[in-house]
Amino acid sequence: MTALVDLEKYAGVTCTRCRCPLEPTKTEITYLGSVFTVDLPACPSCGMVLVPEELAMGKMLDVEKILEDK
Amino acid sequence: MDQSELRRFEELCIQEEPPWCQASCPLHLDGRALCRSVADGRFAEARRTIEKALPLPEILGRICDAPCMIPCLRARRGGGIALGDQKNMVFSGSLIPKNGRSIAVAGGSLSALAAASDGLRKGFSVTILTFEEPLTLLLALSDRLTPEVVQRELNWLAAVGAVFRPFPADRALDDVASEFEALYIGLDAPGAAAAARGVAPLDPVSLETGHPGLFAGGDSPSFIQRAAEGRRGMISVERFLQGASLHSGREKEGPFETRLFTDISDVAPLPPSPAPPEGYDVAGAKEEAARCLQCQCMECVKRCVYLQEYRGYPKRYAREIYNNLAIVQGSRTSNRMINSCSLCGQCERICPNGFSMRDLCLGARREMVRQNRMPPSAHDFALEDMALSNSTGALLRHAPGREASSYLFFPGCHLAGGSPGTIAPLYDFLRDRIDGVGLWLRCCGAPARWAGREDLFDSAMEELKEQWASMGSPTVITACTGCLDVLRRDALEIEAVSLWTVLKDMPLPPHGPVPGEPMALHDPCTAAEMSDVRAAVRDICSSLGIAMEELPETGERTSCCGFGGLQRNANEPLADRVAAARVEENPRDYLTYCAMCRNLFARAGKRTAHLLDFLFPEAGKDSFDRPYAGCSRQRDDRLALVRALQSSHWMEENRPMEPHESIVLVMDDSVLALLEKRRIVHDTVKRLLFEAERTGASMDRGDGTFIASLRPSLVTYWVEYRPLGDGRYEVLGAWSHRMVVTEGGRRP
Ligand code: SF4
Ligand code: SF4
Ligand code: SF4
Ligand SMILES: [Zn+2]
Repeated sequence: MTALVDLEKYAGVTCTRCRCPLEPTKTEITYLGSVFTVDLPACPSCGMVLVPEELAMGKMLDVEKILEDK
Repeated sequence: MDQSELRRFEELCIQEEPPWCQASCPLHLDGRALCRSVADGRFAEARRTIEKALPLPEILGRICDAPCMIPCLRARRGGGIALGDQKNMVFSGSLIPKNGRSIAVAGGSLSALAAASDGLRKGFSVTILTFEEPLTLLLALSDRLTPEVVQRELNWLAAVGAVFRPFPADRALDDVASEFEALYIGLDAPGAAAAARGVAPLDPVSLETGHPGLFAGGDSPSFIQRAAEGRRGMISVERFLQGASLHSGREKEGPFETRLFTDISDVAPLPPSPAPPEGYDVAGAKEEAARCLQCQCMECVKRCVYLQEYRGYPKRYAREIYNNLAIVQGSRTSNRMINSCSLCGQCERICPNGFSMRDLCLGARREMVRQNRMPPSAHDFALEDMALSNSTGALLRHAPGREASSYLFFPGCHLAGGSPGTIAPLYDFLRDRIDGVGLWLRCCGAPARWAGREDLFDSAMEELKEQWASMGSPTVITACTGCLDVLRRDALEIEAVSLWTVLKDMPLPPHGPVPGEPMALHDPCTAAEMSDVRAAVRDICSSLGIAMEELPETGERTSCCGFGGLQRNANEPLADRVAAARVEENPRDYLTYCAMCRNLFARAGKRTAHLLDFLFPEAGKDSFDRPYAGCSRQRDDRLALVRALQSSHWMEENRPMEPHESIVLVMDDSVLALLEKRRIVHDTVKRLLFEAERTGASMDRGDGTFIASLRPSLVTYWVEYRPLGDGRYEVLGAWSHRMVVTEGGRRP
């Protein structure tokens, strides 16, 4: 799931609290015991991660369904 | 589910039983497949069907006396299918590998040659010991056999390895038999019959004689029976060579009675088109084959969109579900199928053997929950909804100013969420007519039952029974047959009656005009086992002057709207098709008495009214004009109803508003629809916005819009929004996921 997000699209987005622009960050996501690594926009200061709509409703949803039937 | 349970289910579905033609054919030719191939003009396929069943297809194809025509189901609607006359097909042989066993048949007519043919197909080296010329014997059987046809058949036997040899006239039968590992005597050849004097078959099942390894048969007036005994004899030969039992498990070798059921009540009689003396031509054979009813059961499948969806029938589904439950590693591909049945019970009421997909699927769901293998996404939205209905959405009160209740009115979540406006006038009407009617808003627990969550269901029932007892154990009046069904099954101590049987015995309230045109009445599936309720509804309709039409499947055979069994949660596209199919059954406006059926038919675009809409119409509103209430609307309406009733009837202070509840959402129709589709309820959006404001955790897009998230329990929600000031927010989009972000950053 590494290159699934068009990170360019989130270049101008900043963390409201820290005022830092989000940066591509290696992020671990898990579901039902399986672990994946994916590059997601995150705040370099507080670590808040953005899961974009296209990922959540696309590949992530597919993987959730596959894992639920395992 | 264990093996024996699977067998019990499998045994009930007789869809795989053979049709009458095949069961009664001594050689079990598949007449249904044959007719389909012939009717479609696929003659090569027809030939393969014949070759598969008949040992001497060239000959038997022409002279079979077709005992199948009598039991053939078509015989009851015009005349049995002339399968015998259709088998006029060409047959070609192929090489069969030998297995080294050497056997013989004695006699040169149908029975011995049929045995030889089967023996060759089993891979034996077969010697055919003849007394008379086979060609002469066979030609004498029927005018339909020409020397060319018979010779082709004999040539085929020789081509696949049969050795023809005259029986040595100077030697005794058992002496000759000792040259071979086993021998079958076809008694329909005069010479063979003479030679076999004294070794007649002792047993009709095995055709064994007094001599081990020596079998005899074929002494029958019916040609096909002679051939069938040849087959039976060769099976005995094979079993004898294997040292296997000559008797066990042979019940279905000869004709037997099929358990198949085929509904022919709507089939018009159609007389046969008899074959001319020279036999059918292609057109004639096709015409006759097209009369075949293609007998099968599929009674339940014909009526259930869900059963059609997976392209099988219950017996096959039982096996798939059994296999699915047994999977330890790998994909459980039937999970969605198991969770998509609406558990409505229509199939078991239609099936001639009462096969219950409801029991099968509910049992499987419970097992999945026990194995911890239930997909979390299948039901948790509905279970959360149920939890809400039983907390902030619940209300339990004696009638205003009263300290006790002899009755409790139980509207159910669907009426509270789908038609909140009818509840107060209906409750007031009941209080007016009956002394001491309390009010009880809560969920009956059906969603937990449907989800296979025995733990949740049991605790919900326990709470329900406690609350009921705390009110002095009054009689419960339910507006929803679904709630009544749950109470009657699982809360036996609670006396529960239907609102409709109660209303039927009362003078009805003054009511508005009813439509002049008839309406089609849809019985909810939960009323299928409640004939008293269905009759009461029909009584009330006629008292109101409502003209009704019955739908094709009505009363105890009625169909589900697609909500039952949480079908809509597990498989929304299917549930939409289920509702669409139901509303297409009649062009009239629909009338029903379940709030969920009404809501879902409205969603499917059908003008549908609830019977209460005519008894307690909302002033100035068209009873048919209520739009579909989505999941957020239903939740909000349920909570608003509790507040409204608390103030109007009990003069109570409302539960204080939670701070997020005062947030105002602004969104256009497309966003509303998106939230509904993604099951993101407005209350969650408000909570999320409130938290984002409180903590400052959000992402700024630099154009006045923000993105924030919240994970209240098992799902993370995201909302894209624009603050408008004064607690108002424009919602621009929303999405969710179940996966958990664990590392790389902290969750907001
Ligand atoms: S009605 Fe359905 S379950 Fe019953 S025998 Fe027929 S196909 Fe099988
Ligand atoms: S109608 Fe067709 S399938 Fe049914 S018994 Fe007759 S030949 Fe067989
Ligand atoms: S949806 Fe109803 S009729 Fe269809 S299989 Fe399930 S219980 Fe049977
Ligand atoms: Zn930050």
